[in-house]
Amino acid sequence: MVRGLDDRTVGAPLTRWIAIAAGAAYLVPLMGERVAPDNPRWTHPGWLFGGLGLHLVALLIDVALWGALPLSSMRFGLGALALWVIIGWAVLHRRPQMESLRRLLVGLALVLLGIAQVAPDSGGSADLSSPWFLAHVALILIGLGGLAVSFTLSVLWLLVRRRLKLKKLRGISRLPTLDTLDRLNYQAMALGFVSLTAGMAVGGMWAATHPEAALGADITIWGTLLLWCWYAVGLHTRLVSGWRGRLAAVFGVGGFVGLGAMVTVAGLVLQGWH
Amino acid sequence: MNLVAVGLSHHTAPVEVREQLAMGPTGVPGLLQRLRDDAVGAEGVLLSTCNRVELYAVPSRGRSADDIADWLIHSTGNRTRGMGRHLFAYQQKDALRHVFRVASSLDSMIIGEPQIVGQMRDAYKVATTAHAAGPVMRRVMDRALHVAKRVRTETDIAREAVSVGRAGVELARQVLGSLKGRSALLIGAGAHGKLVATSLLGYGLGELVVANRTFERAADLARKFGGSAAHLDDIERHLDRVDVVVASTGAGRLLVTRAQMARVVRRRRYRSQVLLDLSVPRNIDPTINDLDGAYRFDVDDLREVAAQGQAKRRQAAQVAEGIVRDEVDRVWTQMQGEEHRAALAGIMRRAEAIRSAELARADKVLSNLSPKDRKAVEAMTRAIVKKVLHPAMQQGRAWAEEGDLVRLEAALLTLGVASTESE
Repeated sequence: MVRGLDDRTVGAPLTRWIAIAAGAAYLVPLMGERVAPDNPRWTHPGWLFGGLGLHLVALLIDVALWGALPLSSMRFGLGALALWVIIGWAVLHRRPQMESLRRLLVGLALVLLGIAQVAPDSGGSADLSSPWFLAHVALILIGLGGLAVSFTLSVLWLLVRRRLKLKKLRGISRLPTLDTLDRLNYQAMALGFVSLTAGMAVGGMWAATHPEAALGADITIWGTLLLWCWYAVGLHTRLVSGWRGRLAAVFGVGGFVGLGAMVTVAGLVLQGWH
Repeated sequence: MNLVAVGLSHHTAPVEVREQLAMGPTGVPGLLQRLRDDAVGAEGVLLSTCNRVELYAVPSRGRSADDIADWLIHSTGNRTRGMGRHLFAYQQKDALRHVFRVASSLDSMIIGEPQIVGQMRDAYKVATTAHAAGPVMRRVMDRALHVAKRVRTETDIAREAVSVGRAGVELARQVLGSLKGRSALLIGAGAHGKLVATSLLGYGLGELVVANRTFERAADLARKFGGSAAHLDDIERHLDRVDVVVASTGAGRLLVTRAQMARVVRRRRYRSQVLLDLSVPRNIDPTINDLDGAYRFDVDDLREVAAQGQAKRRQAAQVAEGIVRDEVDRVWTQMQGEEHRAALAGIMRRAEAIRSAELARADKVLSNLSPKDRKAVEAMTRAIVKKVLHPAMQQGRAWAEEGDLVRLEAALLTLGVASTESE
């Protein structure tokens, strides 16, 4: 169901405002911890769950306005990715000593949501009604969400390790253990990698039925392939050689930084199918 | 409601006095039975640990806290002169506060220690099995365990390490996560090393290897800890597979070198390993900390963690005292209110008794009535009693709910009903 242009003209600012409200709800406990750490009202996880609800509402309104999954533009894609990162937090938040991880994940989601609000609404010329295309984009986004969580866990692993190595032990017991971070990083990376692989395969099948799409020259495809190889090597060294810890964290950080560079170049500078 | 807490603890009595009142779990049910048989207390829970022997009880009518304290001394067969001056006795709200503080480990020798909650729970279980925990004690103990849980989850009182042994465990856990199924190598038989090894085993360590200059000493210690012994020359082989290394010797030289560990971390594929060097002079090369996967800490690091833990616990204890204060006020008011509500129900029962008696007196007159009319008269008199008492009952309930017990007590006295009648 595709609504008229008027609906979108009215609806798009509305969803932006709802997304901004969601971002504000995400921000409240982060600020609350600094301004009023002893007041549980400001640090209550309800703020994040409330923001998650608003975020979801914004995406659903987009679905209603655009008549398809809201994945066809950079704004929608980044918004959905931010939602995945917050869902990642919701999965992990009951584990002990995960406060610092929450801060990093929520920070990352806020950055993604912020970029999404200034990114253009218009998307590519893809056929949004094709289930192959939608499955491709959805799987890639789930994959990117997993890799975003892996990146956050990797950064936190490196920070905790640095504190232990430098003997900065004040309040160390509040941080997650290195082992927990390493294990969760592996799980998030494996989820991201499997989903990315499936998304790439589905995208390949879609492209095979659309010869008009000159995908050979699309930098995103080659970048994603490089990224896939990077994570494949990272997971391989862990599974086969048993290497973990710093190496796994470096793969998590390096991969996501590469991904960010690729998305920026492909999405903002170059124009193409992606 | 009447509640007392009597006994002695590490605050009031030295160990040689405490041990005279101490009682094993098998003797407690008999003592609680005697408490009721001797008509000293209606309900009771006895907590006996190495740091305290305390009886929480609901005294029988006419008995005071001092009576229960005297009874406790004599019924435990104690004849030591001057024992009474070591005993404390709290009553009513102070008794409730004391029970809550004990359960929350605010009264413990090491504030925040976790054992006391389990000991309280066991004492409560014994009292329940012995049918000594009635409605009041059940309420008090349930709330005490609830407050203890609140204090542990809402404050940092139990989170931080406060001893060198626990600090070693915390640092190992910060790197390795759970210690369940992990292995450790203890080099030497120094006091600190044994402390850390004991703590590690307490956290589920799967295997302990003890290495010492003299193999016999290592074997002795290994037997004590339930581990295995190794020669000091053979430690590199064990370094390859253990997750924690604790060095505590008087060797005065490096026993684990950087070159040795560089080989070990490569063979371990950089899997994390914690090295705790508790010796002075040090036994583990400090530069090993630069190697990937190796985390080396010395006795100063452990002391720093323990000192920080103590400071944190002191801060957390202040927050916990606030929680206890709030809970005592709330629970005490609730319990008083419940008791008074029971007294209000007593008024209703008394009125009903009067109504029934008056009807019985008028039985001759009423006998001429048909069963239907008689039923109507019954219903009418019941309705009159209810309607007359309704405003008073409503006001009384409101006072009970609001905790305005002074006015409620006065009203009950006017009506000739004491709040303790409900007992």
